Amino acid sequence: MEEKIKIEVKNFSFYYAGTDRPALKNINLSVYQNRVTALIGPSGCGKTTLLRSFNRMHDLYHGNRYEGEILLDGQNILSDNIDLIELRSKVGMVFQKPTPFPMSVFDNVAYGLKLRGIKNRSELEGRVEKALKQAALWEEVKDRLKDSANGLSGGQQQRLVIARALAVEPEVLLFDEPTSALDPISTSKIEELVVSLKDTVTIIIVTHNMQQAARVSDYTAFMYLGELIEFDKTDIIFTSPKKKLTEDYVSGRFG
Amino acid sequence: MLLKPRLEEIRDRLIKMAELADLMIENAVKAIIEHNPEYLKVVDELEPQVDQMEVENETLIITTIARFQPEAKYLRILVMDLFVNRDLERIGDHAENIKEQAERILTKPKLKEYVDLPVMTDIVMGMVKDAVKALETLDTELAREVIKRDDKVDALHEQIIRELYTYMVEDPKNIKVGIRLITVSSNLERVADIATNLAEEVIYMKEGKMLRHQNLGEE
Amino acid sequence: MNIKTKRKIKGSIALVFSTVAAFMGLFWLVFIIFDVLRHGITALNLDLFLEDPAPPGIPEGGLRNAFIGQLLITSVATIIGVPLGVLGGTFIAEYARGTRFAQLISILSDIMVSVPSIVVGTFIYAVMVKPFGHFSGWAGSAALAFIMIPVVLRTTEDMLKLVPWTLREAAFALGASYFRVIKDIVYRAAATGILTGIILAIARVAGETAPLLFTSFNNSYFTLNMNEPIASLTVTIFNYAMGPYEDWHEKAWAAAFIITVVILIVTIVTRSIIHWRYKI
Repeated sequence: MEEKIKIEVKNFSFYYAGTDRPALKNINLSVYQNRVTALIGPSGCGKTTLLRSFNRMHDLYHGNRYEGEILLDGQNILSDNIDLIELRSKVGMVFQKPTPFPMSVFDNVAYGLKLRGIKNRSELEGRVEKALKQAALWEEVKDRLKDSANGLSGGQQQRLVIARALAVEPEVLLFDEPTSALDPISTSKIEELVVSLKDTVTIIIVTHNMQQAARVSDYTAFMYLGELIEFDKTDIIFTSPKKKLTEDYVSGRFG
Repeated sequence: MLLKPRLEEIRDRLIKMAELADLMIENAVKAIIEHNPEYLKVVDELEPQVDQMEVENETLIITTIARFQPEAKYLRILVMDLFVNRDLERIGDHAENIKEQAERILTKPKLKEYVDLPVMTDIVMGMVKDAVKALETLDTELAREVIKRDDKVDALHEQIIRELYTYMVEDPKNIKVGIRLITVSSNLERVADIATNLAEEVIYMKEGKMLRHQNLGEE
Repeated sequence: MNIKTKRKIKGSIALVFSTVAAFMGLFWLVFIIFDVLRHGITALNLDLFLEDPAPPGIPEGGLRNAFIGQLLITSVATIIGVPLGVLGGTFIAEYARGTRFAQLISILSDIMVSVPSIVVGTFIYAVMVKPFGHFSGWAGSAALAFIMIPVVLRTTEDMLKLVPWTLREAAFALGASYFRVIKDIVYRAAATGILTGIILAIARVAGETAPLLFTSFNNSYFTLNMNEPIASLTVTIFNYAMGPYEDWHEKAWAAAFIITVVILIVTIVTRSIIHWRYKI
């Protein structure tokens, strides 16, 4: 299996505003193209902090500081001359709780496209339909595209948010515990969706549900106290990890 | 269900492996029956393939159990897949044993025209094929039918031993080949036992009933 | 007498007192509204809206000048006060969120909300009437806008803060600028709340008299010129009620009736919007 590196994290450290203690310490990690990479670890290990570095979400708050490099297709996304709007159209994100915008189902999915200046009605319609189909939601909402997105169920809302992210055709999709607010059936739908999406995008998923990481990912990174302890194929992490800490965590001995 | 495609992959691989193990037995016995060492080459070729598959399948099954933590039906299927995998590898080993005997048998002239051996081989191969078919479709009826055929194989095995015994008593020169032929028959009989195991494993997968060391009549 | 009976008696006394207190409040409220309705309805007629006042003492004419004046002053106040209030609220809830400056403005607004309206009136008198030497509609609108701004600002701030932060992050994650996030997402999510705040603020200033007494004053003639003194319903009610003529008293009742009913309707409608939207 030939693996192509999509994102390379090099000597990356991160400091939250007002602290000298790094939240992430010297992380080195490769994210492979068209694969699902899971970030696991106990609460506070820095997995979400790392995830939010990939689309520079930390820039929304003053005083946060990055060190080192994160290379997306060889280009350092931490450098000052990176256009964040362009970066975020390449690297989409799905959050813990469903975040439908207060508008119709159609307008939700079309929002990112409209931000990019696409106004042509038929193009919008085509791309919205495509995104909703990719997110396995089309059949359920095709007759109520004009209805408010708030009327959808939690699981549908989360797939809507995924469709919204997919509509702008990102190269990477970040998932921040996408199923923690959902019931088991919606959860397994989202998991299947994540796996099916890797044909078109590279996926990084943060989850505190270890089994979820085991089910959906190809690669797993285990983090602890802001450090990357072990990174390997998911098959290996969950059957024969090399570090004792990883083994203890995966066996459920802590965390 | 993310587990389903993995289960299907494992099953496909096991079926492929069963076909290879089958081919090994078939060719090893054919070499003896037709007195032609050419067939043994196939066995040599396939042997490392089957061994390789066993290791790969085992890793695949174990990682699947680790990653999906299956319960009830899926746990039974995966644990049985593990047994099936090992069983199939053992069929390959028996084929290898038969091949070793065949090499020696073929150095001597043909003792007799074989009558029971082809029949027995046919039945054993049929059992293995049907057990695998039962595995493919989780057909417990077929599996139960396979288990019943084991008695016939046992009877044929006895029959072969008795017949070879007369040859050996007749002329001690026949003993060398006779003993080796009995070993071949024994190996085939073991393969039938394995096919029976496979069938029992299929029943356990589907119904959760352990049939091992238990007569079907008591079920 | 055991403890249980003591408790029961204490309970009953408390119940009686609070019930009486509640009925006292309710009684006066009903009494006022009923009185306004009773006197007002009889004085209602079409001339009230179509005619300007007749000379004092002559029982003819209407209050067209006051209705139009009130509408004019309130509209201009809304046009000035609402955008300033909404933008100010947006500034402290979004751009300056969490800073000391935002907190300071927020606290100052709270103080301003509770400043007596007559103080606002005298302040505007000092800066907009005295220097120009005459009362004006502009000054009246300015006074009302002055009262509206902190109310709208604080409601806007509160409503914007109710919008979950993750909703903004979701929009940022799609590559939206902060301006687009506020315009497309945050305002939309808080729209009903902000609108309700605006309507309640308008309803509130529509009933103010004191700030107008020192600013737009009064005018017996119909005018659309905001540079002149301009009549308003509330000031007219005040003047007519204090006046010596029976006819003036009737007209004051009628004006009081109209203003009460309008504010009542507006308040009820907005409250039901809140109920419907937020399912409180």
